Amino acid sequence: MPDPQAPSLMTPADIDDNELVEQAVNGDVNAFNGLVLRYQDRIYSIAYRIMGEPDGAADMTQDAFINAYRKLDTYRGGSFVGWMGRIVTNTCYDELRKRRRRPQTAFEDLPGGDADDGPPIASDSITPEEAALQSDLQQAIADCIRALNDDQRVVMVLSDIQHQSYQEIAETMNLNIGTVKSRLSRARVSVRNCLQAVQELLPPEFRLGDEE
Amino acid sequence: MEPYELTDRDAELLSAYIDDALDADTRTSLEARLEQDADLRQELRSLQQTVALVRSLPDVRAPRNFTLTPEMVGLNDPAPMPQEKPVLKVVPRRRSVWEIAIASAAAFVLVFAGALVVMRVMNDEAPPTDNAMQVAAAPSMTAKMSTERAESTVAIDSDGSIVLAATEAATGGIAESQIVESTPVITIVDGVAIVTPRVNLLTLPQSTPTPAPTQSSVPGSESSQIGLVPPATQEMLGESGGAAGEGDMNDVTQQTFAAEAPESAQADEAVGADDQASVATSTTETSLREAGTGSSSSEDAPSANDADASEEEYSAPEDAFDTELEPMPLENGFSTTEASGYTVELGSLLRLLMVDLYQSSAETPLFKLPGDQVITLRDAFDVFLHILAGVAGGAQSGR
Repeated sequence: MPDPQAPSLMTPADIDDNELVEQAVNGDVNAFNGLVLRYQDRIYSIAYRIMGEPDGAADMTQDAFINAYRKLDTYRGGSFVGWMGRIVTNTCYDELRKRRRRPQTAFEDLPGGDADDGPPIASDSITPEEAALQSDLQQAIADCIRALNDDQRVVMVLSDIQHQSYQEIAETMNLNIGTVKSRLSRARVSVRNCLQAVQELLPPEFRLGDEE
Repeated sequence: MEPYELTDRDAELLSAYIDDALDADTRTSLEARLEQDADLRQELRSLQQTVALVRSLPDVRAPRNFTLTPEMVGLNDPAPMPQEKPVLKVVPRRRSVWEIAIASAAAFVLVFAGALVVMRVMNDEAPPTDNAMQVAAAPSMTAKMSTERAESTVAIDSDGSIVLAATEAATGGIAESQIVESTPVITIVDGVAIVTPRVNLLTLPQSTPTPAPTQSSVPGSESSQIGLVPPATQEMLGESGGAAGEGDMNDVTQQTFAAEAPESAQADEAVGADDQASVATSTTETSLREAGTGSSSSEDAPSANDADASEEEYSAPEDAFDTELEPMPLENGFSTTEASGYTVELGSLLRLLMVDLYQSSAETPLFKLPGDQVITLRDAFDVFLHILAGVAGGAQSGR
């Protein structure tokens, strides 16, 4: 019996995603864990961008992998990481809606709660180590994304971090394409306005609005 | 940057243009505008840069491995139990706060009734209560607890089953109040004397100053029947309750609760073990609001020789539903107004059950404190009511 705690030993990098999926569907948890190890950074990143803080992102990532394993038989081929990204996005979005129904902290009370309020204040939910790993610019971008409302943020993450098409986003979020377009454009304008407040962080080629 | 006001429409166009998601015509016309409009060009550029910045964000490193264990996904588990959030799995559907509140209140009432029975059985040296006083005292309370144009029947049969039928009075014009004497019932079953003690929870504690039972001849009322019936009568009672109702009587709900009662082997008193309390309620659509009800529990048998079904009928004023219990100063200083204030929201079934139990709980000591302080069941009930009020308050503010 292979040790489930050391699945990386079981899954050489050259095994195809779909092959691992096939083995996992047949009950091989370790095959699935090969996929987990392969894509956990990606999936965690998506969760982190949507949730805006590491603990919730970790919980959602774990839940998403468990959910994915349970409904692996609904995976219809294509990009596994794309499929997985939609699952983690929905897991996060469900959690955010749940939290919205029973808010623990009024979002308006948090610093940087509105994208138009000016430069966001760095969230204290990020550990100093994490912050050190991110450049100031990345931190600023992340904070501006974090300051979006849930609906806009999820659509932006799907589009600009997961690179999904409008059609795919519409299917993932169960929205019509018009709503996707409008949420995405509002999100981009909000982030743009937010970043303009930290112009000095931007590299010259990214000075927003500079014509020349 | 100039104070250029980008319209939502233009923002959508530019955003879709960045994603190359415009149809050919729209794209052409937008490009023509961009040729002419420097401000719009600048908007496009800043948005393009924004998108590029967002897309430039690197992945964050996962803080730990998220590999699954067989236990997480329910493998290698003889009885697969969800590891994640078991509470969510156990509850099959979302329940409203009200459902939870009512369910917990019902559970509490059952436990409470069981506790009362236990205590009374164990306290059989307590002097039998005065029938006359009880009968006199009870109606005034019943009257206050009764609801509009509804008739309730509560019956306890000899094996401890409780039948509770709520019936709308056919005419609503029962003007006459009756007081029928309540007597304990002793049934001989299989050679064992089963005393179903006074099936009258509406009894005031003996030590309580008797409130004036001035409910007589209150017009336009309803009645509450409390009586003992043999098991065979139960169904009939329930059915007649349903049949007698006017209007929509289409929904008959039956619920069965199991209540545990301890066995008592006292010479002159025996209570069936493992009592099953089955509550059958006939309800109309507005049953929670209109249906009257009653409750019953056991008390000490004053005598072991009577074998007689007791039945009590009380009448209540038409507006009884709106009438809160008057404060009845009791020995321990608690007043009863709080009870109706909280329970009235829970529907009359629970309301009456709880008020009845509440009334009779003041004399049931749980334990004594140094000095003369005695903690009674009433005190415990009060705590529960406060919790319930908190839940109800939360439910209302949550709407």
